Amino acid sequence: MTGIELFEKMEVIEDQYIDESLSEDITFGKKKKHSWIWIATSVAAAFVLAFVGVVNAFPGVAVAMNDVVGLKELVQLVTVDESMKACLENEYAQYIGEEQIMKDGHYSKVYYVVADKTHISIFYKTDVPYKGAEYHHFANVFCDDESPIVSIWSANSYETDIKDLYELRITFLDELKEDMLPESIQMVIDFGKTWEDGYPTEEGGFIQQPEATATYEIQLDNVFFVEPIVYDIQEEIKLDGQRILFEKIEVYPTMTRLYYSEDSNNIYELMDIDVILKDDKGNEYEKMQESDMYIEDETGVIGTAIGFASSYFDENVSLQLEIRGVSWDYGTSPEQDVSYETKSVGGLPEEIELLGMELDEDKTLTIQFRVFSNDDLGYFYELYNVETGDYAETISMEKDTEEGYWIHVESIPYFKEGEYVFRWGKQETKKLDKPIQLQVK
Amino acid sequence: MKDNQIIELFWNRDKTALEEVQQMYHHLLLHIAKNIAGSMEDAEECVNDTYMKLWSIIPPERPESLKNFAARVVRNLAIDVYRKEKARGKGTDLPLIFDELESMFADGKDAYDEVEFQDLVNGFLSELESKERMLFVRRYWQGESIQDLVTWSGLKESAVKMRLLRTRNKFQEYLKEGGIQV
Repeated sequence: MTGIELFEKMEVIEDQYIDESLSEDITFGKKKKHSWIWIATSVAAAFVLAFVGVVNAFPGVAVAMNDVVGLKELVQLVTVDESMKACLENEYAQYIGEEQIMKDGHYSKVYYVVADKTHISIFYKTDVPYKGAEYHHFANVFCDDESPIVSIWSANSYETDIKDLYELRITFLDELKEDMLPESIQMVIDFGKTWEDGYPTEEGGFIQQPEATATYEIQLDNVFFVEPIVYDIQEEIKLDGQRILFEKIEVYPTMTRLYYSEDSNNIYELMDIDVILKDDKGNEYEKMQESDMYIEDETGVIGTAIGFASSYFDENVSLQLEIRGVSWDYGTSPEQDVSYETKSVGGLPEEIELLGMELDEDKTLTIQFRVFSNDDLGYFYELYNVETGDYAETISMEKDTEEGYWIHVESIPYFKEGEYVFRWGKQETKKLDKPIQLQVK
Repeated sequence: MKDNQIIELFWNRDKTALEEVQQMYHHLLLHIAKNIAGSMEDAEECVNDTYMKLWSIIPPERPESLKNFAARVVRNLAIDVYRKEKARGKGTDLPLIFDELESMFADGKDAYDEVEFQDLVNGFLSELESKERMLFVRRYWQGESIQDLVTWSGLKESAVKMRLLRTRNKFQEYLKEGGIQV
């Protein structure tokens, strides 16, 4: 059976599980409030990258763009991404220089692409024949059908101003094999008015009906898909009884990847590692956001890779990993009973306190909890109907007067005794008193 | 209005049934159709076809859950559309989902008849914790993208991918325990 046939055959999944998965309403275009109370870690589906401009010291591109209106503004801008800055300073970029000027005044121009086996970044400008915060553009990128890059993180810039240069960055979340490298990509820029609520729509657009669309077919020069510089580490460390093997780093022009794996006998789940790379020149390379990648083979997950700023263009003699802390997920408790008759929730830890329950005339049960959660230690919980999978709705979360504590108010419509259960978990970030140093180069 | 009341409207051939379905489930159906068909245009067509299909098959059908029933209809219609116009699937996670499904079944994917497949999948789902099961069904039944799952669950993207991978691994273990070679 092919993949699509297997997908089709998933039709056999029973109603109870379909119902469970559909039990939480899908709200188009708005971030869904979810049942897990570890709210601090929520992320939006789409985000806007910090602006990344062009530095003066980029002669290759500067020469090519001399005839471009607005070049002066472009080259005066300074990038905030040190790895990208190094790429530009070393002329590691492909000039595109294509523009589309539409009769109605919508304008766009794609200047250049910076690509390697971890990222593709497209730098472009837009302008519109109207002004106002409610108008935006939305850009997206498609790879051609024969290049199976399907796991990408696409960031979209959407503020429209002639003085702004935008970066659309695609981060590959899978290891990019040689035959997966795209030869071309298609960039589509839609212009139009944003939705009143300011959220993107389900199809990923921030705008209502496109008033104009610009499409670019960008041929990628494969000389930019350079091989990384690889350093083997193969050092295992033991923290809180859990073993972590640091395997290697790969240094690409736009980022560095650190590969590590968790021992299969570990009890806790490793959520995060606080680690930086340092070199003998005093440079520190910090972790990049949204760069985690899971490595699998036919047996499943065999490791994780996290991204750092790149040292590719730096002339250093040595590189060192400094592990400063870890975050563990300790798992979840067994399901506990929720009773209005006894006004109790079973098995609560000291850090989650039941403050009260009220049942109104409409049979809506309101429950108030006091929950501990700060940057280093957080308790979370689920409150759900065991039969239907419906979750209680979090009505509010406000800081308590005591540091680290929050007051949560949960609501359960049509509450019936015995239908809902409670389950809690704990996650903790631990700083190491003495950081662990591992020599990489 | 509750599902059974809407179904009664269908049985009474009252066209307000369609308005009620639309009011209750339009976004949900559109969401599933868009996940699979790829374009909003196709998704809207699938949803409209779903309303017509519901009108033509209720009665004689009397589904226990109108929501599930309608969701199944729109899913099947969207798969048909995807097959016809694969190119429109650009921008969806479907090809990745197909790969993930193939990796789960590996060489054993042709080894099951309908009943075995049904027992296998539902038996596995019954052993999963609710959160994992919901992620699994949203991914492999609704065809949701990783980003949608991130938004829905509030988990980090990395955590969503990890949980799905672990669930797929568990599935392979489940097959092995059942004596099925993968």
